[in-house]
Amino acid sequence: MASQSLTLPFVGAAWRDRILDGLRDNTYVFALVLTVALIIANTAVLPAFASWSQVPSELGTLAPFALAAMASTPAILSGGGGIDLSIAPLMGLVNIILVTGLLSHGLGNPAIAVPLLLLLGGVIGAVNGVLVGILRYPPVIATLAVYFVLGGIDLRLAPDPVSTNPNWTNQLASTLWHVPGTIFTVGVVLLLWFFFRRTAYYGALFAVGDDDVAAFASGVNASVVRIVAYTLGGVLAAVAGIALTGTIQSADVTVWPFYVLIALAAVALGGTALTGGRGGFLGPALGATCVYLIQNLLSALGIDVFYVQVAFGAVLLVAVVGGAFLGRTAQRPRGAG
Amino acid sequence: MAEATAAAESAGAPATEGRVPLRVTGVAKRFGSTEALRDCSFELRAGEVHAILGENGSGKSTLVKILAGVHRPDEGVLELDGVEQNRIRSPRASIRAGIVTVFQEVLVVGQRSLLDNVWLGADGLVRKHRSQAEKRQRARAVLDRLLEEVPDLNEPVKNLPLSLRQACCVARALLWEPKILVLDESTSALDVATRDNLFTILNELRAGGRSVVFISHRMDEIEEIGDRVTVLRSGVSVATLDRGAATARELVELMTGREHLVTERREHDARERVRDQIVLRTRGVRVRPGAAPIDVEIRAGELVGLAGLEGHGQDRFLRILGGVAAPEEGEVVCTTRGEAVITSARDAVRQGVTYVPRDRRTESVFESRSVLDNFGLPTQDRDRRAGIIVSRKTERRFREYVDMLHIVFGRGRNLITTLSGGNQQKVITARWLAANPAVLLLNDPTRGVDIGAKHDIYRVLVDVARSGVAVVMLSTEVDEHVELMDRVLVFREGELAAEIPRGEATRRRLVANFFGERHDG
Amino acid sequence: MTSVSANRAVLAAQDLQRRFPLLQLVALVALFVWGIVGLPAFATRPSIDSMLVLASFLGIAAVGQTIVILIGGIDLSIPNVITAGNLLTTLLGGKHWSFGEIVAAILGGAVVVGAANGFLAHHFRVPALIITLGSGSVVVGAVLAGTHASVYGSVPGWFTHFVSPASTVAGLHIPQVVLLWIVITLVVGVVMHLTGIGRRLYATGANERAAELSLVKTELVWVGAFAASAVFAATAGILLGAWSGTGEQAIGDPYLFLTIAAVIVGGTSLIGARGDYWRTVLGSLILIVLTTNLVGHSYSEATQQIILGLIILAAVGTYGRDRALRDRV
Repeated sequence: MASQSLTLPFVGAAWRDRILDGLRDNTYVFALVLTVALIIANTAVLPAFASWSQVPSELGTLAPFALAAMASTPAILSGGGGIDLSIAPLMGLVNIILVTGLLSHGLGNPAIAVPLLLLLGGVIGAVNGVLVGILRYPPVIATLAVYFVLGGIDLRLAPDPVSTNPNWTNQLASTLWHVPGTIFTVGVVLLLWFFFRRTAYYGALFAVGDDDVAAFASGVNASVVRIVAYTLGGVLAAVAGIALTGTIQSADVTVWPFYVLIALAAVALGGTALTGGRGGFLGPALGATCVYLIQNLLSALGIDVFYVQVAFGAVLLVAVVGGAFLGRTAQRPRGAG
Repeated sequence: MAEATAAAESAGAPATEGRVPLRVTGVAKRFGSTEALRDCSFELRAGEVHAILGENGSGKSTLVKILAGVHRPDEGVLELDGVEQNRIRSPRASIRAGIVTVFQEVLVVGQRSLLDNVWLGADGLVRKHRSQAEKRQRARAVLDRLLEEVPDLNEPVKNLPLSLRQACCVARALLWEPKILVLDESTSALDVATRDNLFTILNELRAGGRSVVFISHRMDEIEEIGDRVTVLRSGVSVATLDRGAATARELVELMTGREHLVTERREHDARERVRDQIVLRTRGVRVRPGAAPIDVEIRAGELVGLAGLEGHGQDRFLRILGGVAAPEEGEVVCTTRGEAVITSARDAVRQGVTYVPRDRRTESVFESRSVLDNFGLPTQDRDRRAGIIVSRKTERRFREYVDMLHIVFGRGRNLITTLSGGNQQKVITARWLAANPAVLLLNDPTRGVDIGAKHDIYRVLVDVARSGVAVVMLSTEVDEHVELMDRVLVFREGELAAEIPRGEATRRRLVANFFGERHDG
Repeated sequence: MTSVSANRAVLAAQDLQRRFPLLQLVALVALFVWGIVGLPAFATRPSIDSMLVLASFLGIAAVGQTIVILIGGIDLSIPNVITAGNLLTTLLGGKHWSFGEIVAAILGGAVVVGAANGFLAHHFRVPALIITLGSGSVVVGAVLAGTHASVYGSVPGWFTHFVSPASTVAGLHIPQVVLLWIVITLVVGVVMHLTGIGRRLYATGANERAAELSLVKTELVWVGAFAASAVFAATAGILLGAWSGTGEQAIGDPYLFLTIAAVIVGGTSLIGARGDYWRTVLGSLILIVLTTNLVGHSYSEATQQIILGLIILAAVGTYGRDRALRDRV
């Protein structure tokens, strides 16, 4: 099995290798190409899609997808089978608390509400992080348990949907100061991500995610790195919950379950390896955009909604298997290799 | 006797001159039923390179991991500059205390750049302590000193060859400017030029009053760079000697103890045991690209040893024989039942060639399974009655090997992990003996195994050979080759450097061949 | 010294727990006693029968999850396969397919889907989580689209009776579907513990590389395990078709995490092939008896979920945590 591609003939081989390397290193390329293609297809089918009046609300619907996917990312990047299943119920919790607890009690002022909700998200994320990073629970199990607990709390707080009066969150899903409100959610997070890449923590996160043993032995505090990763995920889930409130303008426990698996799928579609240590926020955001655009396109074409699921699953399989196929030259040794 | 006096000397020697940056006293560490380190003491002086010498499984790596803060000792005391330490609870704490370790395994983060890897762990989680420009410049300075040619600092480390990856680990340690540098077999993967550069740097460190703990298998390196040597045997520090106080031969004796490994030597036994029939043959097998092809014939009833310094191709050669690895070129032919080329492990077993892997934990043992399950897996079809595996049948088959190998265990259904390392190895050996091999390939089967278990394994191997099985065994212990084997194949740089028959195989000649020195009597 | 003997007692208890799911058994009995004491109708025949029927749906759906977790995977397509099985059963039943044809078609399809899951996950080294997420989406989408999400259809009367808590077996008051569950449990137990297939399964989960060196075809094990998982999920779907009488688009959804919870609460670890199906049987019973108790005490679904989450944390805390980093250097 080993090194079969080392003897590609002719000059073209160098280029081919370079292209393959480029695809391997920039794993989001597939999602990017797919996004562009889907935007073109959407516009062709429904010219109004690209009209300026539509874009802010389209972006508003996209925002919870993209943010849920980005919130799932730090846990995955931190490696060791890292995953956070509790992102979606946390979004639900933030949505419910914002609507029933804050907006309806005069605490809706964003200057009060936003820091409170981000803090809540961070604390819950930190609980996940401690379970994984210090108590050594397998991440799937730890976050599944937290998923159940949060889901139960959501249901207790808002057994029935509660709609809300007009409020500032609506602007996040439409326009705020003449620009799409999504700029202030997804846009800000992406911008912060580019600054984040310059921090010391960024390097530690990727080192731990790729090889926790090597990082630990070199003096990186792997436990703390993982706790911080889950905490970041929790904070982002809170942002996602606020963006969700913006689009649905109500507290509704039937909405968040939709994001549980979609978020993970978007991450995988965006080319982030679920084994950790590779990727970023751009991939998940693009992956989420693909999911949204597929949905939009098929419904614009009047295709049965169930084909959306088929298409979505198929695209996901093609993306991950294709990605794995590309990565095979660098694969780990197999059983009898 | 020699080691007793030496130990007395070291214990009695007062720390006359200068500071003692590190003193280790009576350190012990056990893992489950294995005593990895029993009683280790030595002191490290300022401005010395202190070598630690010991066989595989003598506890060197455990000692290193204790110094590095990976493990905490069960007993004993570490003192830094005369102050007892109990805060070294993580690698980070150890580094802060001034001890920086380069581990035996090449610990790099493959996806990250060379620059990031060299500075791995140097930043805090919040703040970067150095600017990117400074990092780049200092990394280049250190790598320039180590390497003839410094690769692009932005290159992901996974794309670099092993030697450069190891150099990256060394550079990382040097950038900490440690008071105490611990090098655990860190030279084995380095190329010659880099190693020489490293030695120059070590000499400078020494001149600057820093100390180095140097662990290597290679006697020549220890002679070249070591000021003093502490010898570890079975987890006990048996002696600390000055450079030149003992010959290589004496050091080997200290390491292995003086007793003969094989209780009764069967000098004349070989003539009747080794048969004419060839069972396994290699045709033009290349272990590495560009290395000379290897043609070897192995006869029924023969005991063949594979020797050489770690990483010189003997390991790969053995795997090729077992169909577990593919040769670069050439083929392995099994002639037990007609002629058959071996292309896979499955193939090999079908032809009666079985391979006992080296690393018990990752390649052999099923930790969550019982002793019997671990024994019976490849041969379980024999215990079937109407599709059901009758464990009593397995137990009956196992019983035979229990007696033969003196396997000590509670019950067959107990977890394999309740057994000592030696007994686990015996169960694994039994697993493959039960497959009735014509050729038995063993990859360092006595690694980390206590002396009693070693004897049991030797005795069984000789018995098995007498019944006509060809035994090919890789061993890192020179004495095993000298005392057990009919023929020793010595590997060097991926090639068969020498083939030494019994009688001519002496420790000295083998070791000389390891280093590619000419045999001069 | 006392700490040493205490340590030894802990070790002995852990060893016992490894061989025998004592904690789970105690928990089940305790929950049952709680029900008898706290709820008047708890120990009546109809109540026990319906608990058993519900537990058998969960138990049968969780067979595959157990097997797949033992080899180090996870199967998120189970709820989708259940839904697909459920919809096809009622739909094809309404189209006058014979029952045998329906079962053969559904299980045949399940084998293909499951085998593909196992192959893709193993061959391309993609986490099973993602593969099964994608394939599950394809399966349920295709079935929903193909049937136009029709919830109309019918199942034979005898089959509805088969899953009814009131049904009997040869005059005994055991619901027939429970008998099926018992048979499945015995067969799965025998295969996993007493046959070469089971040994290979455990070996693959315990140490894949060593298994490969011991001539186990680990890829085949993965393919087989995921195929089995899909078959049992489809079986549960067929049974649920009889239970509900009509197709339901979301009938499988609760089983996504409930099957995982049953495996974990039962005491099978996600690491290193420790556990077996008996434990999942106990786990399923515990979850159902607990839920019945909570419902009986009119705890809301919300509280039930919170308690379930905490139980999972407690269960995994006592076993099945990962190795420390320092032991891996």
